[in-house]
Amino acid sequence: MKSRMKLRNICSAFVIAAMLFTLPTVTASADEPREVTSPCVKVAEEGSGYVYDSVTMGTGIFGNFIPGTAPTETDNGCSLVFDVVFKVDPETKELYSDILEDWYWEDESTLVMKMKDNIYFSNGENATAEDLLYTYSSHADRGSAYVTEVKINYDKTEIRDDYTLAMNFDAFYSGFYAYKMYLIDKSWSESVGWDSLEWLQPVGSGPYAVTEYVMDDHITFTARDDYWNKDENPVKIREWYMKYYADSATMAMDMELGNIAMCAFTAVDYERFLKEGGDGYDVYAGPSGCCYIFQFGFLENDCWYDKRVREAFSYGIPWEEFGAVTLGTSYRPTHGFVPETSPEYIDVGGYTYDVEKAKELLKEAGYDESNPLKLHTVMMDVSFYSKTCEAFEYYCSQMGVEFTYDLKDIPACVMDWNTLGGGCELGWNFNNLGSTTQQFVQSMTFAGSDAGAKWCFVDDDEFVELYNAASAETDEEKRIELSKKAQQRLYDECLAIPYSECSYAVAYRTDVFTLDQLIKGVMCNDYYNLTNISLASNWE
Amino acid sequence: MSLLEIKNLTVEYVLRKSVVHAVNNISLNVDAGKTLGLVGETGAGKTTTALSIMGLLPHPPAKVQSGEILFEGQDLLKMKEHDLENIRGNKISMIFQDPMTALNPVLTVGEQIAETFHLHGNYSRAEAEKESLKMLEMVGIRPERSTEYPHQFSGGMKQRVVIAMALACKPQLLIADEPTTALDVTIQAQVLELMNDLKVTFNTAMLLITHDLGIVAETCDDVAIIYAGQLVEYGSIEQIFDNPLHPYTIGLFGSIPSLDEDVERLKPIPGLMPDPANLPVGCKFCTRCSRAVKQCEEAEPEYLEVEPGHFVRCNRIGGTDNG
Amino acid sequence: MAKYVLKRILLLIPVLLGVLIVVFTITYLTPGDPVVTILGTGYTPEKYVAKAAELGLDKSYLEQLWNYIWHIFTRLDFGKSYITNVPVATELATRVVVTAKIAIITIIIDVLVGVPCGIIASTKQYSAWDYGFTSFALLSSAIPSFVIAPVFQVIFCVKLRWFPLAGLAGVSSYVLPIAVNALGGIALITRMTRSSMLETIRQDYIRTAKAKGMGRREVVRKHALKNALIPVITVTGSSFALMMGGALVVEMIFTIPGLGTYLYNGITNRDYPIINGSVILAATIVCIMSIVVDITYTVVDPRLKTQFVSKKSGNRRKKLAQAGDGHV
Repeated sequence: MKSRMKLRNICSAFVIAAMLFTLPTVTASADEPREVTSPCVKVAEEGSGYVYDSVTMGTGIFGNFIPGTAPTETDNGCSLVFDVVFKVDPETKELYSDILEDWYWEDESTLVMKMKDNIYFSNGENATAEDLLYTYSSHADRGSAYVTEVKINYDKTEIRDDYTLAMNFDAFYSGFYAYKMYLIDKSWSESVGWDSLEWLQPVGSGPYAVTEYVMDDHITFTARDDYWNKDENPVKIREWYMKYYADSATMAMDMELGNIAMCAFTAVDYERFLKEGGDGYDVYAGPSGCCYIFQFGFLENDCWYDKRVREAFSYGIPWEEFGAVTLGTSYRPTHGFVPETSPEYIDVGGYTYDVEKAKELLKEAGYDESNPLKLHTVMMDVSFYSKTCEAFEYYCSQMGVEFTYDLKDIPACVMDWNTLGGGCELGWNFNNLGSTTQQFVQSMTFAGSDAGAKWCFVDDDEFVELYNAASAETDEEKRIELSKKAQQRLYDECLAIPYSECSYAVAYRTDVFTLDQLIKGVMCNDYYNLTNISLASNWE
Repeated sequence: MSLLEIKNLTVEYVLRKSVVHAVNNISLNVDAGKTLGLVGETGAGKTTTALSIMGLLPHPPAKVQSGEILFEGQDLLKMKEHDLENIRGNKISMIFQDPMTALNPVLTVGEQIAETFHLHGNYSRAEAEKESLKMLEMVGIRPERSTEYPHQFSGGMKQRVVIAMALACKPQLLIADEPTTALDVTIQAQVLELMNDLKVTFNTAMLLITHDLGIVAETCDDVAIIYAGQLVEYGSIEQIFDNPLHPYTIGLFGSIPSLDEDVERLKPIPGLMPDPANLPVGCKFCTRCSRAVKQCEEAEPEYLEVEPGHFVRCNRIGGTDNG
Repeated sequence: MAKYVLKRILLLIPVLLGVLIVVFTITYLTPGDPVVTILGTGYTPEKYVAKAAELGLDKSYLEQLWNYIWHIFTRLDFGKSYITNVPVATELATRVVVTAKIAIITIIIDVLVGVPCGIIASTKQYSAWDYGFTSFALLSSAIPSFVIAPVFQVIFCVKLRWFPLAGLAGVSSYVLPIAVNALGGIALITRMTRSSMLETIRQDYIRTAKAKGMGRREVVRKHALKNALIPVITVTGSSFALMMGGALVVEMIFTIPGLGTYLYNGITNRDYPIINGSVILAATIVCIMSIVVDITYTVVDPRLKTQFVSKKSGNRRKKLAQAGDGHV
């Protein structure tokens, strides 16, 4: 009796002590001034003009800074070192430009761009219309993936004066403004050539310069004292230290320890690993600006030309469950082909799950137990595709469809995607270079043409017509109308099935950035834009 | 007092499922300067006896059940390991059967001989080297070869080196376990001659283990015949060779082919030695003995002295029937 | 002796040439296209052709092979990475140093810890020590490094905060990668030493040494060890060569910019110059290590040493041998 009492006393004493221990952390609210304790940050001295002297962040990709060289375009780095021609204001959703004073359409096929005259590169050279033109034309020269859709007529394009460029188009592409066109110094680029190692520390007009690049270890970006826009658009972070991680688990652990202030995850697994947030860090899962769309590989399997077969898949797969299972916490249900935040968004309608109806439709089309529908595809050996294929296989089997798939490593897979007869009879499309104002045409890249991945092409004449018309339309309002029509067509004829908005996770230290600051930096044209995070306007 | 006195030695090998009675109640004496031949077939217990003297029995399976081994009055079985180490190589040396593997291949011959000197006595490097060169010369190897490695010597030469190592510290007793069995006949003769010369030079007593009666005749003063871990006959050479009494001894002599006669078949002793894990009660030889009677199966014969210095363990000899 | 070494070194050249050709052919035949990797998924046929020509990938197999071999032999030019344009030779030089540092220290620890453990396990066979060491060896070779590494990270970096998680920031960054690498190596060398010692101790010359009156410890040290360690030399040499190939998993988890990550990234991106260059470097290291091991043998094992005694002194000895002996 006595010993039990004693035990109870001890336990309750323990509980009280534990509560007292946690009390301070519970009472400390967000209103109190932030004290930066994470080792990833060095707070700047008073009067230096900066908030942070140095911030460390983590990334899993390193490469050079040649704009447009996928897949290693060190995107984050590019946004620090170069100026971008067109940007979108995250709040007003309006197009603006840091480097252009003005731009307007002179006629149907000519866009006049007037540059500011006080833009200087880090080597002291003044940026002129020649550099602006070169920024676009160099993509074509290098055969980069950029700028393939828009048909610029370089012969008719004129440089009217030092700062005025009149660009002529054979066919306009409405995604033109959404391209991240980094302003390149033509004379410097031509003098070093595309093969040069100097591209690891390039000349740019942006607020930062690469001061150190140690391959597969780290890159240091330091704020330039001679940044031309320093007075109007100063930055509050003096140095970004970008640390390389070969392994995402290690990066996540370092985030927990506070050794990095920010990192992005594409694999759903790691987002889940950090999703609870924790001691000093939080995870923001935000929209990345496009949608996951299930597409039929028309060119690879004739069965898709039968609408009943396509409809069967809209009934036969529980798309909401599918999204939840394959995307986990990244799942954001959608009824459209572009994100809700886009001005082109239209609710095309939802899908009902009815396996019997699906089987009926398949039977009508000629597929039943004795002659089941057989489908095959090739996807990349990454966690997203392996999960998606596995789930799809299961749901197909419920429908009586035999689905097989191969997972190959990225180069081999991409080769199969781009070759007719490569065996990719269906696939899941998403375009990660988007923004929240994602335009429909960019979201459905390749849907209107058979260049690139063959399974993305939607072989429907009316749709292709609408798609091309929306592509070429220069008038904003008309373009949005056409875009909505094209989306509706996709839904009505069941030519593609959207099931989730894309999002990605950014983990950040709560004592370094607030959520608002992060979102402002993140919800822009890019994945996340470190310059935007650094801007003074973000710190007021 | 003899130099070496083995009294009632019994050694067993304790295995997981059985116990092997290797040596059963053996008593032997070796006098200073004399050679005792220990004769028996394979598995009789000769090597076990020798190893017990040296204290080199493999400890987990082997167990000395009883007995004493007195060397210069001290019981070797009760000695501490450290003291035994002082005796080995110094006062009692042993050479083994296979010379090909008896030497360490990565050390020179000179080094291996010098080791013996370093172990027993405060020799400086130079002194030890000098002494080992002398030993090499004594066994008939040119001293220049002391920097060579064992693989550069032939079998016979290797055995000479082993002998040099064994006799380096001028031991009082040399145990030789079938030293020439692995050598061909001409070399055998050379090595035996060498051993005899050295024995005389150093006045070393020798316990020579062999199964070859010819060698016994050449080198030994006394002979002990061992069968199934027991002594069945013991005596001087003259006694054993002129007047073998135990049926086993007679059988051994009988199985040697004669150079004079012209025969078609050899005369072996029929049967095999009994399984040492499963020794029969009574006389161990009785299943193979031509003169066995019922009494032999029941009771173990006593070890009796039939003439001065000549011992036999047999029911049919020494007192009872002589049929 | 010098002749032998020279011969072995000269033999390296055809071997490496063979490796070169095999590696080049394999990467050439592997599906997956560096041009596609660089251009991404949205390119036109014209762009493809232009890029391929730029990289020299439009030439025939033999032409490409010949160009590659010629550049290596005349200028030690292994080409440049398709993706980053950094010359492969420069990258390899920096990375091999990093990997070498880790590999050398790992091997030293392996031997310093593994050999004594093996000796103890063998001399005290069937005792608690023996079972302890062999179980440990079994466990650490059974548990793969990609399990051990993260576990160490969680324990030593996250919970205890003793070491940095990733990167190469000073001496403390090397501790964990070396520890993870060393575990597997220690296991191997312990087992190897143990079995070699067990075999050696049963040899007749050990019995001879004991019969001379040598104490147990001295016997092990002077007689058993030298013989028992000969197989261990082989294992150490090949272990080191393997480790230089880059302990890939460990390098990736701890973000060590060494050979392993370099090769892995090259393979994922189909960056042919990187793949070919790294494999050839690894092959060269393996060949050199095998030469070193063979030379070490001749130094340690006199049975091999005497083969290389120079002709002159050998003849003189033979003559003396024939003259003086009379014995066989």
